[in-house]
Amino acid sequence: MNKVTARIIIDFIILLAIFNGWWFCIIPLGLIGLWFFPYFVEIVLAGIAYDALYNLIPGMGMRALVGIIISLTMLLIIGGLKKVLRK
Amino acid sequence: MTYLRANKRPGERRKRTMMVSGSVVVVFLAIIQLYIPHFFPAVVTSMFSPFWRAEFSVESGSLESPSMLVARNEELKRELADMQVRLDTIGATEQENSDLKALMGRASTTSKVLAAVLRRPPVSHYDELVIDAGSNEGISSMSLVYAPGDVLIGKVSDALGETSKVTLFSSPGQKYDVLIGSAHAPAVAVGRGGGQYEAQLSRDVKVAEGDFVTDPSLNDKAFGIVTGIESDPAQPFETVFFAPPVNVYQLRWVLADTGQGIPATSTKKK
Repeated sequence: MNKVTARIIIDFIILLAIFNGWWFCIIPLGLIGLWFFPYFVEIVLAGIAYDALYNLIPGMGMRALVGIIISLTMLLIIGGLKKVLRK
Repeated sequence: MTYLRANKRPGERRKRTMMVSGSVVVVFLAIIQLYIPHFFPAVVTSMFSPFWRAEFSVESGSLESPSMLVARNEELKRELADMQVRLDTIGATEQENSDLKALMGRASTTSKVLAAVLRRPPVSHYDELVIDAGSNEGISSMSLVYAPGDVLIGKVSDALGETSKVTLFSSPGQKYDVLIGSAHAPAVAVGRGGGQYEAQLSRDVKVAEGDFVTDPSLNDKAFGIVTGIESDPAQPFETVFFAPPVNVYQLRWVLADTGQGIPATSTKKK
């Protein structure tokens, strides 16, 4: 299986997990995607979609952006780790 | 022939371009979210809601065999006929009730919209429901939401065009004024999550398991049933635990009030 196919499969599973609200699937899949694929921005889109579907309620404050914040944090941390460990 | 490379580090330039474009996208998204807060929820929900509706239809048995559907239809018709008889009796009482209220100048003018529950706990968190009726059907933020049987369970926290998000009163931190027991003792119901509430009451108030908890409005809507009482002899208060008579994890339909918003003083957030 080439990398593009694997990436599409992971994207599809993440989409299914968003549909069902399974954040506990989205996070590990996001970590795998971030580690193995370059510029895995799908995780940020997943965070935006998750918050838009379940969280973005006026008056919730920063709690409403928990998906976006977690996905951006993952993107930065895994990106930094990759850079350090793969030197 | 040897040429000089135009850029000594092409990788660095690419990286810089990526970072700049990424930052522009993030700023653009933040501005949209700031000025049009309903944009992303409306777009993403309109993309997902057809699939949620399809899942709801499949769960409701739309893919069963014709013979099964016919048998279920017959069974439901029989049940409906039984219920109709009971409903007529209740209807007469309700009519009498509304006549009396109209006589006293307190007639209810609210109307309710039936909505399917597309997402419910534990899939959605913070004790939140996603229902398939929105501002197009007259629902607005703060509209009250009832479970079947006129059980008050929550309020609309965000109304989009065709869907709405409902925050249950049992959501952690939500507070709602209620009356407990036959003594109608006033208390503040505090959400504990998972459709559970707790309230503090003076130990002098006689409350027993199975007592009704009601909404303090004139309509006296059912709110919950007392499931447990925790009393400490050293404390002047006892903690009363209660839950709605319906299971929020099994809700398939709700009624959203289109005419009546929640009173500003009735809900508080920690």
